[in-house]
Amino acid sequence: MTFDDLATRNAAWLDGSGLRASLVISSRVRLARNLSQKPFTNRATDQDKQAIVTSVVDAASASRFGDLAYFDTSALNGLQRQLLVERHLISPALAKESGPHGVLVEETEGASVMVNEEDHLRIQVIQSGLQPVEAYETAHALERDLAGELDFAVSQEWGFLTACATNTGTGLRASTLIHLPGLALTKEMDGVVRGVAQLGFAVRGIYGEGTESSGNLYQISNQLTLGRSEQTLLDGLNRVVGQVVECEMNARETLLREAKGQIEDKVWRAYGILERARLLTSHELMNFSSAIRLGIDMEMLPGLETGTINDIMVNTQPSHLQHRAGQPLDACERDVLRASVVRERLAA
Amino acid sequence: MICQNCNEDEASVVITKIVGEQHTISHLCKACAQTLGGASGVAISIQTLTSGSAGTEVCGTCGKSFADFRKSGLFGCSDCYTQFGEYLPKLFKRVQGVRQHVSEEPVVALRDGPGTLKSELTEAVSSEDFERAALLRDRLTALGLEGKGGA
Repeated sequence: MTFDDLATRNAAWLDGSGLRASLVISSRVRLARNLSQKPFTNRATDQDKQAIVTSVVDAASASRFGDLAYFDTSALNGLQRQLLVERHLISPALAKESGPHGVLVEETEGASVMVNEEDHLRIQVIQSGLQPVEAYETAHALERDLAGELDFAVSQEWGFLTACATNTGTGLRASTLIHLPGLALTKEMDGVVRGVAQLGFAVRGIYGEGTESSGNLYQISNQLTLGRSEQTLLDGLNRVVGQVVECEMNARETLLREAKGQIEDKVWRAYGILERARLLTSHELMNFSSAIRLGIDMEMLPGLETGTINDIMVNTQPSHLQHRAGQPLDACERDVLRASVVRERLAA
Repeated sequence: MICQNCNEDEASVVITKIVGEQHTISHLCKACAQTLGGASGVAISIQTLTSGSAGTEVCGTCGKSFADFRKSGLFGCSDCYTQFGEYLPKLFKRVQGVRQHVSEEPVVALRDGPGTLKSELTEAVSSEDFERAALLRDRLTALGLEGKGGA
């Protein structure tokens, strides 16, 4: 798989096929692992980092996940790295790393492994809908295969040894990307964020740590990684997300009961603008696509599918647009192309 | 977990603060969270958590000093966990609320691969530790490396 192949096709998790996928867009699991006998990335020389890349790539090619393609992100330009960030395949932190680093990517983009981020390996699996346990099982299978070839840093006392103490133990971060327009419209989001935090889970923006929410999309993830088994953490996430989904459904019922006309108007206005606009900023697109997701969920927009909105959400981000154009575009040029891509996708 | 500010009441509020490479997690009771005025005023950094130490220790493997660890919040290698070991129970109690790892997976299975699992199984059988042998056999079966009756 070449970079162009990856850039021009859609990841499987965007197809909207998973459990409750119109509301829970995706479930993601990542496992932080380090090789023993090697300094962690923050102390590693370029030579160490290159040896780590070689070991991990060799281990992956000997595994059942042998078809993972390796992208040497240190050799990619800024725009290409940013495209991988927009795809949720690398973190903004990896895009800024120096020295040898990269990412192994499965053809469907379900499984991937970042190499030489804060930890030597960040094994990631993303699936459509509310399926954190299934995502974990795949990540664990990949980890097990890699462990057959690699010697992970681990201790009986502390579990998997990671660079940051907030990941030590299981090294497991499980999260779901969830669409919560009902709670935003009924102004109940703050209460939910507080409640979720009290249960040891965090609510963050769409790209994870340190990012803002956009289009009423939030990531809910476990905060703690030590002293709880993987199963306990995953059960906890399922339970918390289940409760948040229930709150969202209650908020939507209230909206339908008390303001059905206004909600329908909001949904159709958003659709009208996306279908006709000639200029669209990212911010506008995220807001209107949130109204359309809500419309699809409430069966107000027959014939339109969640997968189409997911496709639009990913493919209209700045680096995706510039890759499509084959050249750098300024903000205004991107807005023109974004509007054109949206019209094309909605007409398909 | 007990509140990290008053050390008296049960902590019911978790606050995460991420500034650059510094990750901090605070567990507070409701009263302290309100009194201290939200996330900006209450983050307890790794630096504060380990402030009792002199900070002069250096990891013999990777050369990271404890002072550096306190500043960045990042271990330099797996041996730092041993080197700075005396501070870790306190650190993990504060950051993660517990002092030890729990997993359904035997640590050895992921550290040493199937070869070691098989030799451990042989050893467990010969020392008649059948409970452990059964666990190891299940693990090998799960890995597709052992038939049901094999030992």
